[in-house]
Amino acid sequence: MKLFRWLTSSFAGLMLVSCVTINIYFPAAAAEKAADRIIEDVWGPAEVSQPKNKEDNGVEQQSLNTPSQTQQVAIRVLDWFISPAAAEVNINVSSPAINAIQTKMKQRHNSLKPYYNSGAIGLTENGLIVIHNAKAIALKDRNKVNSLVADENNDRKALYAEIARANGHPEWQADIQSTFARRWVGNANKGWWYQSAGKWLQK
Amino acid sequence: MKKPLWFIVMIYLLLLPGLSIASQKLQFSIASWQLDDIQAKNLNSDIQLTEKGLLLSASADWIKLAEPIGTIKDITLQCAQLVFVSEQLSCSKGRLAFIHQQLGEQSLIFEVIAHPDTNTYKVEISGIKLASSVFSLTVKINQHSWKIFADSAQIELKALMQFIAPYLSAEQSTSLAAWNYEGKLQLDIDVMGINSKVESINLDLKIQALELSDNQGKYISEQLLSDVHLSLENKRDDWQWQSKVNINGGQAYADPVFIDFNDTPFELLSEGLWLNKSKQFQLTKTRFEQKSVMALSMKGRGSLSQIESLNVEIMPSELQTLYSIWGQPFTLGTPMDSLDFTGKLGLTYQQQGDNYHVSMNMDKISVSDQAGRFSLDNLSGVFGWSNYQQIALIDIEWTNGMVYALTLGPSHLKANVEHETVVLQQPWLLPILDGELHMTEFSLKKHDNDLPEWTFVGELTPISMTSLSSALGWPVMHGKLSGVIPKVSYANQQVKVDGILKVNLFEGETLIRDLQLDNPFGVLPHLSANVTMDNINLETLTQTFDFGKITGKLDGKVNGLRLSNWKPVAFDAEFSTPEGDKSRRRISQKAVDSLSRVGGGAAGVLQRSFLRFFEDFSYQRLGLSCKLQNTVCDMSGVGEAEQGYYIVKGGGLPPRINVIGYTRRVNWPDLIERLEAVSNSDGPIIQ
Repeated sequence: MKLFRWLTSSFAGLMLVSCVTINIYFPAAAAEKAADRIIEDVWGPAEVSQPKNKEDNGVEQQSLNTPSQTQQVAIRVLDWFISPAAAEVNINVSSPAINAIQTKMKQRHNSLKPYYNSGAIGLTENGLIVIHNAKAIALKDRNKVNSLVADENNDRKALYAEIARANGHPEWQADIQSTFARRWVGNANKGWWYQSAGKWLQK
Repeated sequence: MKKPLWFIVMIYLLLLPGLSIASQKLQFSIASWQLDDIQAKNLNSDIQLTEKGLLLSASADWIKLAEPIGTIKDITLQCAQLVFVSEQLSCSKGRLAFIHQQLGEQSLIFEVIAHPDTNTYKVEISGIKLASSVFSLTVKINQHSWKIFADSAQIELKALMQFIAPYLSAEQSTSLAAWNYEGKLQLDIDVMGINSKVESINLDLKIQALELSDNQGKYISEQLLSDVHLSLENKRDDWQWQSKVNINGGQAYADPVFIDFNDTPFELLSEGLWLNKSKQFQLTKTRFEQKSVMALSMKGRGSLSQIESLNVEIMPSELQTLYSIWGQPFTLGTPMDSLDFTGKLGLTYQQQGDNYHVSMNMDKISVSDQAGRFSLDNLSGVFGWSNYQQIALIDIEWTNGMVYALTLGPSHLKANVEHETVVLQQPWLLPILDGELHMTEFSLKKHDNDLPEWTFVGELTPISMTSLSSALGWPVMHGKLSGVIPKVSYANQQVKVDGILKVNLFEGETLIRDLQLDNPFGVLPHLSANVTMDNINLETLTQTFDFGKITGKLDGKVNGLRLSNWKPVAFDAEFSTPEGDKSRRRISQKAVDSLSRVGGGAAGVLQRSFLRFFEDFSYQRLGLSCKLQNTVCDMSGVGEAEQGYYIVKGGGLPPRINVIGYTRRVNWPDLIERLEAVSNSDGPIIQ
C-alpha cells in the first residue's frame, strides 16, 4: 500500500515536474483582432471596409487554431492537468515602441493614400507594399514614392518583429507577418491592388 | 555602295550608244527592253530641241532593276534642260516620278552634271519622301571616290522606325517591341568612300521631344532634347570615332536615378577606336560632364561583353549634389538615405580584368543624419579599397562626431587595404565622451549583398558615468564604465560584443555580458544583454534617485534585458541583500513609504503609529524581483508572506520593519510612473 501510494505520488510528482514545459500554440484569433485594431488605427476607420466574407475568416481562424502534429500530442497530455483556456495567450499590442511605429505609419498613410488609389502602390503577399504601376507616378516624384515605400516597409517589418518580441516569442514574427498580410488585404479599399498567388488582383 | 536608282535610269537612258540627234524631235518607244539584269516595259521617250537645249521626256510602265531596288512603276522622267557640251552632260530642272513598293510614291526634283569621260558625276536630288519627312540627297562621284550628303526635314520617330522595321533581325525587332517611343528628329549625314569601301561617315542628329518608356516604367524619358554628333573614319578596316552628345532638355528616369536635364544638362565627348577584326574597342578619351554636378574622364579597353581595362576619374565635386542625384536613390530604406553633406569628394578608379582599386579623396567633409542619429565633422583624407594585391590606402581623420548622444572626439584611422582586407597600420583611438576606445585589430569586409561587415578587438578606457548619464538624460550617476573587449562585430545590422563591459557604479561592480544591438540606426534599435551587479552601495544608489536613504548592500542580476528604442520591454530582474552581508542595514521613513507605494500595498497597513518617532528602522533583508514581459511585471520579494511577499524583512535591533507587497502582476508603465512619482515626491504622508 505504502509502495503504491509512494509510486502514485512520486509518479504524479514526476508528471508534474516533467509537465513544467507548456507548449503555447499561436493563438490566431487573438492575432487577427489585434491586426485589425492596428490597421484601423493606421488607415483610419473610414478606410476600413467590412471583411468581404465572414465565413472565410471563420474558416481561416479555425485552420490556424489547429496546432501541428507534435504539439497535438503534447496538448492532449497536458489537457489532463491544465485546461486549454489557460494555455492561450492574449496578444498585447500596445507597448510604447509599437505605439510609436503606429503613429509614424498613420502619418505616412496621408502621403501614401493617393498612390494606393491610383494603383501606383499595391499590397504584397507578405504584409509589405511595393510599386505596382510605376507609370502612374510622375517622373519627378519617383524618388519620393520609392522612399515612402522603403520607409513604410521598414516600419512594418519592425512592427511585426516588435509584436512578437513584446509577447516574449520572437519566433512568432513570420506568423504575425502573414496574419497582417491577410488583414491588410481584407481591410483594403475598393480599387486597391494586391498580390495573391503571384498575380496582381484589384479589390 | 549602291548608286541611286534614278541615276542609273538616267545614265542608261542617255548613254545608249549610237544616239544622235538628227532632227528637232527624236522619239522612240520600246515595248519591252532588257539589258543585263535590267528590264523595262513600255519605255517611251522623246527629246525636243529648244532654244535652251534639249527637253527630254520619258516614261515607262515599269522598270525592273537589280536588288535591293527591285521594280519601279509608273515612271515619268523629264529634263527641262538637257545640255551636252564638250564632254559634259547636264540636266537641270529635272523631274522624276515613280512608285516603288517600299519607297512609295515619289516625285523628285533633280540636277545632274556628268562627265562620263573623266568619270565625274554630280547629282542633286530633293523632295525624297521618306518616313513622313522630306530628304535631300547630293551624290558626287570622282572616278573611284564618291561622296553622299543627305539631310532631312523633321522626321517623326515612329515613322522612321516603321520604315526601318523590315530591315531588322527578329531579335532586334523583339527588343524594340518592349519600348514605347515618340519624338522628332532631324538628321544630316555625310558618307565618303572609295569604290565599295566606306571611308568616313559624319552624322549630325537633332532630337526633340523624345518620349521613351519601357513596359515596366523602369526607364523613361520625357521631352528629351538632344544633339548628337558622330564622326567615323575607316582606318584600315578599324573605325576611329569621335562623338559629342549633348542632352539639354527634358527629364529622364533610370530606376532609381532621376535627372532633370533642364537643371543639369549632360555633355559627353568621346574618342576611340573600334577594332573590327578582334571586335574590341579602345576608348582613348572620354569626358562626361553633368553641369554643376560632376565631371569625369575615362579611358579604357575591352570587348562588348567584357572590360579589359578601365580608368575613371571623377573630379572633386560637391558631395551634397553628387549624393542627392547619384547616391541617395540607391540607399533608400537604409540609415544612409537622409544625409546632409558639406565638402567635396573626388574619386579615381582603376580596373584591370577582374582586379580593381578605387580611392576616394575627401576634403573637409561633414556628414550629418537628418534624424540626428549620427554625424561626423571635418572628415578629410583618403579612403581606398582594393580587391587584389595592389595596396590601397585608408588615411582619414576627423575632428568630432556623434553617435546618438555619445560625442566622439578627433580620430585618425590609418590602414592598408589589399585583397579586400583591412590591416591597421597603427592602433585606432576613438575618443568617446571622456574615455577612449582603443582598437588594435580592425577588419572591414564587404559581404555578398554589398553590406559591410566589421569586427574589432579593443579596450575601452574609463568613461565617467557622470558624462554618460547626463548625455543619455538619466539622473546623474557616479562611477566609471570601462572594459576589455575581445571582439565587437557587426554583420546583418547586428552589433555583437564578445566580452564583458565593466561598470563601477554605486561603488559596486556591474558586469554587462552578451551585449547585442540589432538595427542600431534602424526604425527600432533593439538592445539585449545580461547584467549582474555585486555589492551595490544602497546609500549611494538611493541618494542618487532621491528615494529615501537605505543603507546596506545590494546584489542583483538582470537577465535577458531587452530594450526597444532604448526603453525596457523585457527582463528578468532580481535584487536582494547579499547573503552574509555584515554592513549596517537601516531604512529611513521616506524610503519605507517609497517602497510601499511602489509595492502597491496600502500605506496605512504598516505600523503607522510608530513611524513618527523613528527616523530609520533596521532590516534583515530586502529585495525585489520583477519579471517583465508584455508590459506586465510579475513581482515578488525576498520571501513569501501570508498573502503577499516581503519586500523588506525586519530584523536586527528594534525597531524592525516589514514591508509586504500584495500586487503580483503589475502594469509596467504604471510601475514606472509610480517610481517617477516617488522620486519627485516631497516625503511620506503620515495621517
